Amino acid sequence: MKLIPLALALGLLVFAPLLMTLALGLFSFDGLAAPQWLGWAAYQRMLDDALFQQSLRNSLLIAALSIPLRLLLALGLSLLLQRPGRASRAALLISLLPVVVPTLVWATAWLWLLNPHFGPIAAALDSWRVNGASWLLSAEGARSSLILILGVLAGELLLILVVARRQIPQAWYDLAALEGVSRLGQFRLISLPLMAPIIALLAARDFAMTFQTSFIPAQIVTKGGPQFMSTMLPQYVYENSFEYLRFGYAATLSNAMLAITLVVLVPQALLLWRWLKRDDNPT
Amino acid sequence: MSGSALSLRNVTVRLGHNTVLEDFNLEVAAGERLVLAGPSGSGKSTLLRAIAGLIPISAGEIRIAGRPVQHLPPGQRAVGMVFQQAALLPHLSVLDNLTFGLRARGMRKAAAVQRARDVAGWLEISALLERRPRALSGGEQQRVALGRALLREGGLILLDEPLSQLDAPLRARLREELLRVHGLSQATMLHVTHDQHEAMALGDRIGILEHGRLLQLDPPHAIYAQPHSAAVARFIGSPGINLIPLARQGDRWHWGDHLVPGPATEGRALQLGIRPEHLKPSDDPTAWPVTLKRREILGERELWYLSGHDDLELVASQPLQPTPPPATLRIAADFDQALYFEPGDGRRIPA
Repeated sequence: MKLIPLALALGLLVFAPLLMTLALGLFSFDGLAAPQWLGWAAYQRMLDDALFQQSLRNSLLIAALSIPLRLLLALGLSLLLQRPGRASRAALLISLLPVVVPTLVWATAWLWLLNPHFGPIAAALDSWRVNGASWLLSAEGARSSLILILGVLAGELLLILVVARRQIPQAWYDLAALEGVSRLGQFRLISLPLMAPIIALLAARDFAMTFQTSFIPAQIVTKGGPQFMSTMLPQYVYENSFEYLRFGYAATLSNAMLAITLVVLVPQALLLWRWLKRDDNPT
Repeated sequence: MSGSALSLRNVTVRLGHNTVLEDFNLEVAAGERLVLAGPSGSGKSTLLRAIAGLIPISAGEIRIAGRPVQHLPPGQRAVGMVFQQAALLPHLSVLDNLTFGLRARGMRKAAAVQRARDVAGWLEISALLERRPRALSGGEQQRVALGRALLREGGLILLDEPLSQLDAPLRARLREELLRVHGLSQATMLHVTHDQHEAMALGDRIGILEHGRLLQLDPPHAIYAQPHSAAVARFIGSPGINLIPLARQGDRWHWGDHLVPGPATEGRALQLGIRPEHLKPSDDPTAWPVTLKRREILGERELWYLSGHDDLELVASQPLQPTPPPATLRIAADFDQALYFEPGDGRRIPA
């Protein structure tokens, strides 16, 4: 009985829109005229759409590079900040700031940092004799900027990994030191294997979130340009629905996004589940 | 010094502003089982960690097998260590935990596995080699940890309260196991504990440690029967020794109105130490009148908690009695076994 309000809220806010989107994906609908049935032809149309292909490529490429970058950054910093202390607390707080301020503010700050005319990054690139202004206007520059923006958003991961590292008893490291294992060896033999399930879980979670987290930075900083070369899939969905009023097609794209997320996530989840189960297994 | 597996000379260890050990000296002979016993905070674990190189020393010299090691990192000191918790790596099998160090130091896998199997045989854990640590009981985990320490070349093993996390029957079994494995391996063992039974059972010699100072280092019998000070006498023996303040009246020693035989020394006061087993009920009118506060039956023995002159609490250990003792009685001390201590620094005065 107590779960009824929750079930109602979930049904109204999550499952009803989900089912409606799944259904709408099979129609052409502009919000004004009655929806027209397309069936699987809607998905064929999507697969033939060069802009869909481009935005999917952009999204996957940026996720494939920014998620490992973020994990590596968080892992590296977590090892540096593992010892509790004032410096470690301050560094953790600073790295959490981008996560706790609204993404809009964070993305706007990057817009200034990356501004080709007066931003400090362009100025720095200029001083290294790279033409900062033109580089940031290129397709590679725009995509690299998004990878950088999403890659350094590591505060939350860092916090989790610092806690995970501090959970590993010091006695294991003492023991490894006594056995003559180097610092690098201690990382390889102790820290990494014991933190690996958490790293894998964070990677899976970040991939599941990537279509959401990439939307605002892309929309604010590159607006998908130049020439759709940094358009992210959720941005393309947004444009189709709210700029071109192609709600049916936007639903088709959303369903594709969900399917891609599941295709990548389900094997990861199964692998992780087997892994955790193996560790619980006595023999 | 030849034959010395471990030698500490004037070792000082400071942790922050706190001097934990100062001018500490110790010699452990090769193949010896030396137990350092002391209450929490006496510096036992700090001493082991300093020997292992896990914390730096501020002054002094540490030699292992004659070689100064105080400037070497832990991995080059050739010591094995067993911690309070077994500290087995959870993602490795028992066999991999045993060979972990050998492999890290570059031994070939086949040779490392062979050595691990030999040691596992001594410890009777051969059947557990493929298991993960979490599938082992506390006692099995600690045996694996001991095996890992035994596999360290050099033959010096530091044991930091390795039995303290186990329940009493398992502790007793592992004490026996430690003695048996020591016989097989002939390793030198420096063991620290706060448990006097463990110290008595395992030590060829026992050192009593308090506030970073070694109060006495002797074989178990001497520690018990000839303690150098009241602190040592109090630490060893359960229940603890009875300490009774004596005052000089003329050339005689008195506890209140009771005349007590005592040594011929100068001072005005001293402490009489009587072990609980050296107090017996007596009909002698010169025996001390006491009231019985509580009786505790342990099995083959029972303890009487008594109140004597000036409400001083005494404990007497008696063979199990068929009937409860009366509420008031007289007890006599066996003065042949009595110990006498200075009232100030607690130093023992020869009787």
